[in-house]
Amino acid sequence: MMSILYKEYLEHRLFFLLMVLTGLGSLVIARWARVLDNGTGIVLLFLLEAPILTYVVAHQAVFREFQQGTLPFLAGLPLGRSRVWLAKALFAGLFAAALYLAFALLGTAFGLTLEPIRFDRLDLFVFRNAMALCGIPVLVVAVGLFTTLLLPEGGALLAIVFTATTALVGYATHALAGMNLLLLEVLVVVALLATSWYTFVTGNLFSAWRLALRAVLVLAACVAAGTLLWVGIDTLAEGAVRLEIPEQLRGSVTEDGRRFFGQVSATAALWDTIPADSYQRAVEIDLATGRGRPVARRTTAAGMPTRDGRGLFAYDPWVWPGVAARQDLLFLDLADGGRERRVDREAVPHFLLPDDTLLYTRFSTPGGHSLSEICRWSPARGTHPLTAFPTREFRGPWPVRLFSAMLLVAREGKTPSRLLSLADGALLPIPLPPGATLAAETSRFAVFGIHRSGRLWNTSAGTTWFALDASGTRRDLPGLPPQAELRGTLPDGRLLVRTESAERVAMGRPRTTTLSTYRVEDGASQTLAVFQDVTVVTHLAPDGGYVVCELVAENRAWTWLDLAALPPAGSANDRESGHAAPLSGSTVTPAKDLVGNRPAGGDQAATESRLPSGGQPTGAGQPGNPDQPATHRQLAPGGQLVPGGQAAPEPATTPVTTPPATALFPAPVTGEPAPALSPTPIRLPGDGFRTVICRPGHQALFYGKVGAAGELWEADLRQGSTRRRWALTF
Amino acid sequence: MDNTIAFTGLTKSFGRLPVLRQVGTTIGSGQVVGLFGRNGAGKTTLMRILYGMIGPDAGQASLLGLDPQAHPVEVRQRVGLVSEECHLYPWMDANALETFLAPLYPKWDRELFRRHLASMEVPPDRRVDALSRGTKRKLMLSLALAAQPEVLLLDEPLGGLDAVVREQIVTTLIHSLTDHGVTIFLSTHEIEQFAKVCDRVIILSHGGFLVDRETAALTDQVRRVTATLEHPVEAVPAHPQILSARAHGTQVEFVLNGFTQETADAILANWKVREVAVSGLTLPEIFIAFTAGKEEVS
Repeated sequence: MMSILYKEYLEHRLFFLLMVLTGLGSLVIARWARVLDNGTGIVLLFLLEAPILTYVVAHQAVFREFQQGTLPFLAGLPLGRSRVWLAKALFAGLFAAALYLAFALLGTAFGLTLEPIRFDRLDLFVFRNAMALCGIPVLVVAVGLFTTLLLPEGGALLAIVFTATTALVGYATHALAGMNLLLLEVLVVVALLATSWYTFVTGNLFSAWRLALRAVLVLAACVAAGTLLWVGIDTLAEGAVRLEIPEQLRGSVTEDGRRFFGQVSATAALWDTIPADSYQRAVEIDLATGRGRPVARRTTAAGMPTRDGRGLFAYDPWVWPGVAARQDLLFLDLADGGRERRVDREAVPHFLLPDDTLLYTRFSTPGGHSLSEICRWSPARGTHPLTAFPTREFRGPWPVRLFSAMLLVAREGKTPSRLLSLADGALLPIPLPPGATLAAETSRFAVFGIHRSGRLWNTSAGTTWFALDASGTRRDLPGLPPQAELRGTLPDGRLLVRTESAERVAMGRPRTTTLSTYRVEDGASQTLAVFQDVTVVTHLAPDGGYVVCELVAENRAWTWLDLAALPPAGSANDRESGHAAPLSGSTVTPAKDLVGNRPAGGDQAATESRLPSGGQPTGAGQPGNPDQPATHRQLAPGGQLVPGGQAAPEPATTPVTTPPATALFPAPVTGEPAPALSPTPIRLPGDGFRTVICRPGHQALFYGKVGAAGELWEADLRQGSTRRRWALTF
Repeated sequence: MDNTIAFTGLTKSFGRLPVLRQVGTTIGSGQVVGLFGRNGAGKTTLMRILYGMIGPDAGQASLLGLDPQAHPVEVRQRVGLVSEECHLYPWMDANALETFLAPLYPKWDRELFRRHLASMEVPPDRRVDALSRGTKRKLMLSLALAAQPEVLLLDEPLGGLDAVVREQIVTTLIHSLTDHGVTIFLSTHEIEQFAKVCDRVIILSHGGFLVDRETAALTDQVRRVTATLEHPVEAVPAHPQILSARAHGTQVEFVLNGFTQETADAILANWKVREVAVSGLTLPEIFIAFTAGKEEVS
């Protein structure tokens, strides 16, 4: 075997030097032309030159022997054919390694850094991991050692076609998306090398058209066998998949509140057909027991459950080499053992109607025309198209098509809006200005916003609000500030509004966040609570009785506001004038701001607030040092916010019948109306809780990681009590 | 005498074209056996089967007691092949070839290689593609001999060689090899050249052996009979032992395989014979007598 290696070395040493000089020359030219940046250099060396040159050498292994007539001489040497083939394969590998090393040294000399490159549009998978420097040469050598057996008479054209196809499939990003590329490459390389070895050893080289045809059949057989193998591995790997305990639950709860459908990450085995780093799995979690199970095929990501929990709409990413990835919309009939029904291909779901009918958009090309169709789908009646819109088609070369698409995107905001009748699909014009989007609905109004994004010459961004009633009459809502965000609708029709101040502190957190209500009918607003230096995420209970606030600073804490304690809509007290309605019940101290500053107006600004029955929570201290900058906020367990990460509760300065609920209880900023409610902290073990499931009756479920376990805690908000309900198991 | 080369029932077809049909023989150590046949007779195919480069469809072959299909490496280390089909690497010279090949043969003799190169006047440092056809053949012979094979398979070994080198190879080299016990199985069209060194002759025609005899016995048993008759005749009557015949007036001439005086007399008994002469044939004449008019299919 060393003899063959020596012979190959003698034969290729000049070629190698020539190749290195080629690489050097290309770098010199690129630098001279001032186009040599890191990406260009790496693409030039490692994506173009090195693979092509490596392929040439591997392809020459037998092909060149045939060309110069030395194949009989080589075959007549006292060497097993296996050894000859192995020596040639080994040399091709060594050549590739030497070439890549030489190019790496060249690149380093030219100041290139061998790091992965991500392209905006051309995200080549070869740069996603170490395959860039290891996998590609191996694949190229394998392809070369296969095509080297396609000898001139019958196989030159076939070799070109095969190599070009392999390169196209290999370099196309989407063709291989969703597949375990390492496994795929191993299978392809093994198949190519095995075919090459067997063909060489048996001496039946593909040296005539008849034999070239056999090569095609061999390839087809390999593809068929590979597909079967792939499916087999896919099936076997299912047993080795480990569902991970999620940090948070992403998904939906059924209307009865008993089950949760969502998706969790799964860790696939190295030999799995699915890449381990992007594997999501649709699961169902029994909220009573915490027992979870996968509910669909292994590549299916969760969508939305029906209200009755009998079915689940889910997406199935469908991928195969050479075919672009797409997502099929599936309906999993949970009442029928999870039987899959395909709703449509390439469909985008919108929402579920009250009768569990899905409203979605599908894209089709009947007669060569592109259409967007809005459809309804139900398990009983299937698809029922409501209306269709022609989609712009772009013709011409790709730069023209791209430019046309960009123009269309720019004009999208100017498309007039229409109202779609779900009954008969009729489209009714509605007086909506371009860019208006539906933000909230009450029993009488639909509230829209037109968002202006900040531009270079005009940094003011915000939303202009207006409402339409059933007659289409427009009503502007000047009382809703441009920075407002509508977070839901209360049962009495008032909107829950979150407004963040433009001023930002550490980590982009707003200086103040105000929660308030707003009534469309008369523009009355009422401040519920003001938070400082935290990001506030609200979760409105389905019955509108309370809102859970997720406070995110350096860490995370939870608190809640009892909306049931608000005076009924329309009462004089809820008119915002800087004075919240006096509430019956316990009185609390005038709230302080988050750094303990006493609000202007002192006690005059004190708000009476009716605390939840049970008077919870108590004992939460005031935040401490008023001099502490509010840029490093640390939320203590239970929701206290303390400066500098130190839990430093400060006694209330004013005697109160019930101590302030927490330091998070905000005070109105100077000049601002007093908050009507006092946030009550929710005590949870640690700050690993990321998910809340609000249920009617002041019951909330919190899910989070406690240590390694995923735990669900149940909070009785009025009682102020929390208890561990279960730990998630799969 | 041991059977250095032995094969029985060898059959080989390429597609639907039969090339060898049930051929077999044995060759002892130190023998020089000439395999003669017309173009396309199957000589090269037989050589390739014996060297293990292709497998037979049926039958068995053995060289030095080894099956060349089962033990190709061992066979090739002890058996040399010089074939007109083999081409050396054009970019190598003799020195590089020696460096390349020497590790493959356990009995490679570097000194012997140098001697052969010198005796055949092959420049050791000239690229193969710069050598003449004859010199390439001499280089191949030198390489084959440097491995000190126990059996030498020569497939058209004299192609492209000048008369001096031919003579050198046939007289000096082959005698020298046989003196060292090397068995030589050669296929050639240069029958006359090798007639004097071949111990045995095999004539291959249409995939079968027409003749497989000792050279001396063959020349003894195949005789030309020339007779002058009293009356002219048109043709020589058919006889299983007559290989070729010719009648011209009162002159008849035929070549008799397995000549005996009785057989000749029996054939001539049909005519009134005025005069009879019996003469021997050269090996090329014998070959022509056996194969003339029998077109090979290639």
